[in-house]
Amino acid sequence: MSIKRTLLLSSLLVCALACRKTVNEEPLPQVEGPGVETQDSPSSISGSVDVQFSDALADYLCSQLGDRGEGASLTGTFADTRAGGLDAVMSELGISSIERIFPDAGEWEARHRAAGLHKFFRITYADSVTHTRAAAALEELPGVVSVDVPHSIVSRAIPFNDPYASYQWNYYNDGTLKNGFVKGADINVVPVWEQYTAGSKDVIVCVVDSGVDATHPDLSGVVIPDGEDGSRSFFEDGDITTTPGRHGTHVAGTIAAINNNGIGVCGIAGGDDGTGGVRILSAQMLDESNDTRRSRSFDAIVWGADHGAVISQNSWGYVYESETDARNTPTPEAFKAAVTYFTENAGFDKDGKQTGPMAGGIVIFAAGNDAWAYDPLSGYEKVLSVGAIAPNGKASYYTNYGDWVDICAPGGDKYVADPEGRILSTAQGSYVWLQGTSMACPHVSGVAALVVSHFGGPGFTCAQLWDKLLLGADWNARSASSQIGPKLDAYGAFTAGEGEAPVITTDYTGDYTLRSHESLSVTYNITSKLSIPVSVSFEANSSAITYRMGDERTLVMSVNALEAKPGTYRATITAKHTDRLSSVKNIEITILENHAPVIVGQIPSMVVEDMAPVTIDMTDYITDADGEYLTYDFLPSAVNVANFSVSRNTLTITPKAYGTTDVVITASDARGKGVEMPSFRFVVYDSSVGFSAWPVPVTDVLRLHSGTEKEMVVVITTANGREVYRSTVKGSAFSPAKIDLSSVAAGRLELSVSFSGKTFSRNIVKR
Amino acid sequence: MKKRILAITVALAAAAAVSYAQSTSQTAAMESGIIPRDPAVLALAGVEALAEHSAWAAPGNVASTAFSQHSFDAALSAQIWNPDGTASQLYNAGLACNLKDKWGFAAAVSMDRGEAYQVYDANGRSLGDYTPSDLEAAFGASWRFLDFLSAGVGVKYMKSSLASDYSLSAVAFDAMLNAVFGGLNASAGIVNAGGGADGYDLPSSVRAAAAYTAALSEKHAVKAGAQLDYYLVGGLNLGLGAQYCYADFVSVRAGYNLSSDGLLPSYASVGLGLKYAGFGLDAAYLLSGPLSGTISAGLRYSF
Repeated sequence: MSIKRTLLLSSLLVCALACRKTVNEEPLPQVEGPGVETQDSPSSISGSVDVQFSDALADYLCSQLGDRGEGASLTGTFADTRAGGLDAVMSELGISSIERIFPDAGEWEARHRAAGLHKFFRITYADSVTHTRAAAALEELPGVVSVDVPHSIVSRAIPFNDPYASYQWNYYNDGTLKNGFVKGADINVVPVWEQYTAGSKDVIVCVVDSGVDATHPDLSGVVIPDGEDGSRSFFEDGDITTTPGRHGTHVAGTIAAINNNGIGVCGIAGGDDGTGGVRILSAQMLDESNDTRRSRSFDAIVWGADHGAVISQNSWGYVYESETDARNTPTPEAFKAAVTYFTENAGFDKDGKQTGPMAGGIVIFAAGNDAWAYDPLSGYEKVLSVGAIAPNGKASYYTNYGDWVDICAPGGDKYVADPEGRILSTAQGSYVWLQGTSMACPHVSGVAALVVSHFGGPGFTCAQLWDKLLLGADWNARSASSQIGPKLDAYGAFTAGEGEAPVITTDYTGDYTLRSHESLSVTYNITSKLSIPVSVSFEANSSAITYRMGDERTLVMSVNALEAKPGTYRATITAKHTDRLSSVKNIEITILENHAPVIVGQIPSMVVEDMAPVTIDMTDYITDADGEYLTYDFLPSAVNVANFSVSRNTLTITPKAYGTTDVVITASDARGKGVEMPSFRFVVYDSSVGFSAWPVPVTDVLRLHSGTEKEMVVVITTANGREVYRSTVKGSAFSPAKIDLSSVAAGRLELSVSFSGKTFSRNIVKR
Repeated sequence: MKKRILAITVALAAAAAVSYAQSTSQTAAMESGIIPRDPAVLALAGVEALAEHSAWAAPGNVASTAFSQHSFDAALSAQIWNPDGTASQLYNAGLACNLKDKWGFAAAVSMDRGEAYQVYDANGRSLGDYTPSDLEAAFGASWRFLDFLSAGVGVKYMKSSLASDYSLSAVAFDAMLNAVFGGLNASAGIVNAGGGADGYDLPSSVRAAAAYTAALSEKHAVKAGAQLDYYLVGGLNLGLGAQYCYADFVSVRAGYNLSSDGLLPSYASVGLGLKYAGFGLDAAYLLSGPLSGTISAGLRYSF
């Protein structure tokens, strides 16, 4: 038995003896068995746990380790020392070593011990034992204070031995390479390399560009050789042999330069074993040595789909005299067809069977370097358009921009640092610093290749790839005002959750059928579990249906039925993160026929006394089948007698002067259909005058009333005071009493009228 | 003489018959013509036979001037008539002369200004206001054809402006006999007889009156009288009045006019008179009935 084994067994024996009663009486719990055993987390380190012991046990173990120095451990097979519960635990876990997490620190040891660092040990056991099981067993042992599971440690620097990797800030930018560099202004690919993949040879990226130098040491074996089914050129002169170019080789190096081969640079999907990662299919349509050669660039895109590529990398574009020229240039239909073909057919064989790692392809396009807001090719909605950022994280000065730019990636910026601010990658037989969206574009292609390498397989679709790239991108890297999309984040693309489409909801539960005068306002809420932007669009087939955005996630639809003819209309709300992650809300709105108002009654003539307002429910006299509140126009014969106003079909007549007016009312609905109502008489009677009598002078019949209908005692006397008429009569403004004075001689008379305990008199004249 | 008396009596009766035949209603136009202009008479309930002088004979007892004790009488009066009713203001002037105790002549003019009234058309719309007024001019002559008896006739022109576009005018006649026997003064005749105004009857009446004056002592005198007016449009008024006079200087008067559907309502009256050196001042006030509150005052002069 070795000293190490003796020490280990002795220490554990001491522990066991000190707690024998407990150990003997309470055997270690069984942690194995169906439903209990769990798998270790991939990020944890299998076969070891970190344990904190009690002071006594820690002191004992430390004394057994003595002054063996840093890294010393107690190991052994323990086969002949197992006893009781301890033996069972040791046997069960297969403990192979115990060592201090904080080794003896020499002159600092006293302070370490004061801090309790000497009590932490890492216990190593068989890999087949799970952490759960080991922790459960050890936590039962007396003297064990805590048990922690160690996790694997991730390096944040480029983990490959390529000598120029330290210049590739585009992969890992800690802000220290040059002044002006900003930490995080990279594609965050290192954790992907460390935790997921560095690229699979099963994935082919078609580089539509100038030729790729297949002989470059950093691309050796990566580029599919020229041939009828391999790399080739697409010049109209018929020569299919590729001519290596700096641009194409640079792009290809960013995607697939071999990693860990001890030379040159790293490629995003260049593998990790020195033999390369994803493969490059060179579809040459540029000739840097002869720019007069005309190529069939669209065919180059299609060709990639037919020859195994699922990613089409395009760092090229048209030459325009100006932005206006670019704007006036429509996206070529042949280009659209080529992109569509690649998108729909890449990864499938002639029979439509998925043979590639992805069902469908993705066409990735550089946004352009003119600092313009338009590009007819990259702006095509079916390509993933890539803008460029500088090592300071800001948009590169040259990058094209606009809401059509889907994503951005490092493209370099010489004004931040030159040449280090550019992108370092392969060229023909060498390495060069270049900048441009041409350099940003292969970053996206490279990350796409990584995603396909890891997630690819039957059923994995190009739409899923698109979502991962965008959902995992860093939307908060810069303000939306830069208009170059979110920043590419390779790790984000791998860790982004499964995307879910935004949800369009509304609290409105009412009907979408409107009467012809009605309006409707409905608020729709767009919710999403993702923290990335949602683009909301609205379409309607009538100008009567409008919308406004309450905020980014609230849309208010308004319908004004008055502005449309009766009929059925449709509105569509679309909320989307991506084309795949989009929701559509279709709304059908029906506007009913209008009906003109109909007169159903005659407003009676009326008299009011002493300026008392009168209210009239107009629905008693006029109705509208649509149930709308009508508008009314008033035409009084005397304009100064009363004011007329209508609120919600209630007419209020407010007297403003004593008198009589005949009123004609025209009622109209909201669509202007109206009807003229029969006139009625409205009398504002001044009760202080007592009564009204006319005509004066009277010839024969004197008409008399005192406002509202009432009985009146009428006495008429001559100028000499002699009574010549006395009668009790009844009358009102609209049915005045008639006093026959035809038998009374002409002359001055006094007319006295008594009612309600009051008597009113005035002079009249008989003629 | 008997023939004269008979002829005059027949003429008065015929005039009364004509007037009666024309009456068709119980109201009459120009009723202001029956208002006593003399405040003294008004205070005596309208009994013209008790009149102190004959300045108001033209609108009153047209036959009385022939018995006037003065060669000339003149008077002015003003009235607020029926203030609680139509409330008019009357301004009157009258004069009379006696020639040789046999002939008498009288004239008077009267203006009656009413209160303004509102004019309304047939639709009840106000057209503004109008102030009505009456105008009357009267002239009379009497002849004392016997020592105790005189006859008088008068003519009146009456105009009543009732509206801006409407006025009435008429000519009326009075015919009276007046007899004096010592302290007894009696009269009878017809007043305001005429053909009507714009188709309406005039306030014609057959009148009979009597008054008696008694000197109780050198300074105290009393007189009393009555007057009956029978209106041809129907109804009658009976006036009863009495006066006490002290030292021919101050007179106190009272009366009551009883209406039986007459053109004047019943009323009670009081009054006061002063007389000195040919001048007289009279006032009257009506106490009861619709005419209550009516006041009248006048100044007269006689020589």
